[in-house]
Amino acid sequence: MENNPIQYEAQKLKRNLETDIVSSYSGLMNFMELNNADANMQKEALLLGSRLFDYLEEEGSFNLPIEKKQNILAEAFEMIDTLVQTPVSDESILANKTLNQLRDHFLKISSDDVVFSAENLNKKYKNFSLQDISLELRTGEITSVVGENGNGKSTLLKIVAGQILPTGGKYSYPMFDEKGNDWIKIKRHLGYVPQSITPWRNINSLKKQLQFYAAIKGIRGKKNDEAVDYILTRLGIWKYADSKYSALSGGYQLRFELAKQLIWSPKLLVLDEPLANLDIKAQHLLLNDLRNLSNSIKNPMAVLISSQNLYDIENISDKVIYMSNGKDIYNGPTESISDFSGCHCYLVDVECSVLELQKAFDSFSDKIFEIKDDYPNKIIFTKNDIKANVFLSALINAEIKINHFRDISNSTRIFFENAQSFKKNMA
Amino acid sequence: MPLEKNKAGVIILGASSFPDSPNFQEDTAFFEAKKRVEDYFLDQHGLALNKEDQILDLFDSEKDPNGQDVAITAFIRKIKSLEIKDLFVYYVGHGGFTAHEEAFYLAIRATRDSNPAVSSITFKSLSTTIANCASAMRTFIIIDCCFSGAAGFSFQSGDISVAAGKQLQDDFPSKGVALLCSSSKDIPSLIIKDRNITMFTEGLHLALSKGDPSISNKYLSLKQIHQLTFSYIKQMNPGKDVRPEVMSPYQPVGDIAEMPHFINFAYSDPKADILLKKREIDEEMVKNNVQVVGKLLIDFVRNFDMAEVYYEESILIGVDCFDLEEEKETLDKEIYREKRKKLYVHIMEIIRNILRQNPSLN
Repeated sequence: MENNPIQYEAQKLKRNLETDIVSSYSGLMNFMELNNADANMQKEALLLGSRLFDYLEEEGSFNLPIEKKQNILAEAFEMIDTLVQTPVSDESILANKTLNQLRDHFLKISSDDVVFSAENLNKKYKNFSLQDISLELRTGEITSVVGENGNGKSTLLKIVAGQILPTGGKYSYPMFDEKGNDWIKIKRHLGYVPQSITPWRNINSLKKQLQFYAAIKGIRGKKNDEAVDYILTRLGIWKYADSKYSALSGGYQLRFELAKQLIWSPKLLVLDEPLANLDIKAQHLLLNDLRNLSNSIKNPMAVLISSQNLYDIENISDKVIYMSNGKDIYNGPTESISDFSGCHCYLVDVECSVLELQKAFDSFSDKIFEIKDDYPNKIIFTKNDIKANVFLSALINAEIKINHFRDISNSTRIFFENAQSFKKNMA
Repeated sequence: MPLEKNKAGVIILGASSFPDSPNFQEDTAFFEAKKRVEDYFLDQHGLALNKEDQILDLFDSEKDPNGQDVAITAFIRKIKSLEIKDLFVYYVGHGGFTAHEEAFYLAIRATRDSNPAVSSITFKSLSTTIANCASAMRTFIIIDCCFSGAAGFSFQSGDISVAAGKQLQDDFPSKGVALLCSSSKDIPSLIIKDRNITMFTEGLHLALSKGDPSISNKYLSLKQIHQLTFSYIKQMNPGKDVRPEVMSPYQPVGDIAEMPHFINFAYSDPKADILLKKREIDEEMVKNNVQVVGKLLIDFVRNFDMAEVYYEESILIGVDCFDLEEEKETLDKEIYREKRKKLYVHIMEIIRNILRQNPSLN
């Protein structure tokens, strides 16, 4: 049976589906696509998957009753067998070729232009100064600024948004103004949501106010309606379109403010602590929307965002700047933090003492830099070659109960710790 | 940290002929190898280095070892003032080991094979210069050595990386150093006469300039470049391949051979990948995340519908997706599922039509 690649793949896929139908289901979808299944077959595979997830929802767990699992499996296997037995038609080869051309076309037009560029930005106040910050913001990229309060995050954001001028340093907006001083031109492409939003007026519905704002930015006629409908739907706020501003919760007021800034497709969006008053679900929704909107290939934008919610914001950021006392202690790609600090770092909530932990790490004790108590957690700094799997295996082998584990090697969380380990490495 | 445009320095060493060393075979393949590596560093789509300021070309230089060392020292001082953090040292030519001390040396144009210890660049002196001058830089040493059957070749291992690595242990820069090299002493297997290039540099150049589509990272580490070099060597020279070696003996701040440094030219931006985006929507439909599906469809249409036919329709579907989820608790289960199925079929139809567009329309 397994004498050609497609048959071999089909058998492998069936075994995977039998073992774990939920995790392997995307494998079935990929198999259909890669082996040129026709549109109808791909549709049936998708709808079967949707049914599978309906069953899971009904059961309230990932364990399907045997009968339901067997029914789904039988249908899935039938689809796989039909596809294996169907010869690839000339029509599907041609469609595939056209699709590849289309794919290449979009891959080629993707761009990451520099929107803002600065070298050694300074801002001096009586009791505080922002010192020598250099950064480059590109379309399609999200850069997050993190750090404790009062360390210069908002000052930096205000400079980039053109709200205040720096005391020293060079900066420019290469996509729209090389010299960085034609503010009429610059602000046509720049959206800014400050920490405290100025309340909207209550005289008109929110939709009308958005239409008015879009018109000011030069979007008129049919395009105005389209732009407003798009942003209301895209941000999931259309059902409040006819409401008044004062009727909205803080979270929705922020989303409307965001809609106001996004309606005219800015190239640079600056957001100062937008997550501060949102519940967790609203935070995730907002961050995912920002990620997808900045990723747009037709209207890509650069996003500069400050927040105290480290993990969530780092999760969607391409670059991160960690500020302390007005300086950028770290300023680079999110995935390179551990390269910079020279160590890996794990945050655990375990049911054992520090001594027991040390014993668990006996086989690589020379690679443990430091174990810090951070009640109820412990933060362990290791050499870079102690990867998460090695670390976790040691805990599991020592039969230590783990309540919580997080690999924070590439999180600026480590800079909040006054740890000797990375200070030594970075020196 | 990835290598930045204009932010690296390169020292190119070696020679294509050795007039005072009859035992060292001259070969234009060495020049071709040097040329390809130089082209990689100058490529405007890649590191775009400035030839005058950022590349020290001592290949085929008439300078003696001391003269080359002086030039290297001055060059490193110059690039330090340009705030350059990454230094590459590339050598192509003949290498060997001195008769008595088994010191590893790199032959240059001035090398006399009767006494290579004083007329070549010894690895020890090179690493001392780098350690003294480039202490704040990450240093990548790339050696493409053809061992000749020269008198004085007394090293027994035949594996250059073992010897070079051993000598690297003694003295090197404080920011970390990594070594990538060809590993054989066998001349015929290292120079590809048909293509007039050394086997190792041909593979290395392909790895650096083509990248690896199977790795979904914008940047590759030296270890990944090493693996990729070997796979290109195997592909280009079936049955005659020689495995290169990578090592990074001194790593005070993490293994620089494991850090993603080199642009992966085969990387394609996932946000611009129409198939990937279609799969994202499919997956969310399978998981019945109806509101997310609505948003992703709007994004998909905005990005990929070149004729802008589905702009309005996608917004209406987005609204329907939100409405349906809001009504979910109040609707009969079967009615809800039937409505959802209709939405899914409609969405799939739109996506299918967008996938059939002709790119020349745009």
